Amino acid sequence: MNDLSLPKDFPNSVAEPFTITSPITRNYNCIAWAFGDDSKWYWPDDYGIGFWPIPLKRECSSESFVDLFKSIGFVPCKTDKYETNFEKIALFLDVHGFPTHAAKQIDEHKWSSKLGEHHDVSHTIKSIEDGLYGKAIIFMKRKKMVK
Amino acid sequence: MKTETEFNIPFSSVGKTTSISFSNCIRLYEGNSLFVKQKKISKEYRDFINLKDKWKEETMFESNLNNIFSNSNYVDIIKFGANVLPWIIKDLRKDGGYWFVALTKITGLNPIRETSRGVYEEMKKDWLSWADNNYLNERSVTT
Repeated sequence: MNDLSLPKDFPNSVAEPFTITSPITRNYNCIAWAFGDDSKWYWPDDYGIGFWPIPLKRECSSESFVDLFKSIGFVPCKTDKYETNFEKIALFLDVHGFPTHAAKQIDEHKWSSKLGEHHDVSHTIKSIEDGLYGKAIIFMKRKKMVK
Repeated sequence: MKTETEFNIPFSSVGKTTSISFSNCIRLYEGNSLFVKQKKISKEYRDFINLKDKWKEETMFESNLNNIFSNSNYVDIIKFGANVLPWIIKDLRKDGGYWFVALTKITGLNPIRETSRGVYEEMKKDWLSWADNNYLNERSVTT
């Protein structure tokens, strides 16, 4: 698939891997993608447009996003380092500590993200940091399900 | 009609007189002339398209719906009020986008069913069904 370079929004994409892996769609966003649901747009917005599971607090805070992933078995962990038997997700926060983005780990080197209403991309943590989404601050993991 | 006019290009005195006369003609015929009305709609439509394109460009990688709905171009489109409803519906039908908050702010309505929340195609369907039931047809424009 195509390699992207988006220096304005993702300055590190110029030098780091950033590869398109899906068509454009408005059906789901990065949070939904990391959560494992590509049928809805997850966001606890003020207008009631985004989906947010009812038991969870509908507020745009890192705690609320952590609770979302805890609800499907993820627990906070220290690093983005790949662990064979675990799935990992990363939460990106802006300089004020507000959530902006989530990505899920694919393998030792790559992560996968949905970019707003655009493509899914595979990338490194670094390639998507320092731009529109800020930094990957929170990492969570859960045991891989046996198929 | 005597008016005070500022010119941002260096007209000659004849040019100034012609320009003022032209402006007076527009004022006199506004409300009566279909041609003048059409010209005004064309300008409004161009402004709408410009704001819409900027909104989509500036929010294309956003996941945060609050940021998508508070983008200054989106807010400016809402300020146009009911005039832009047919154009929003047309765009929703064709190119799409998260127009739902703009539609609610302009109409004061929210036809989105609880079960549609977060599901883009369902929310779109709910609004287009509302538009069809209310005979909200496309507003004609000549650019």
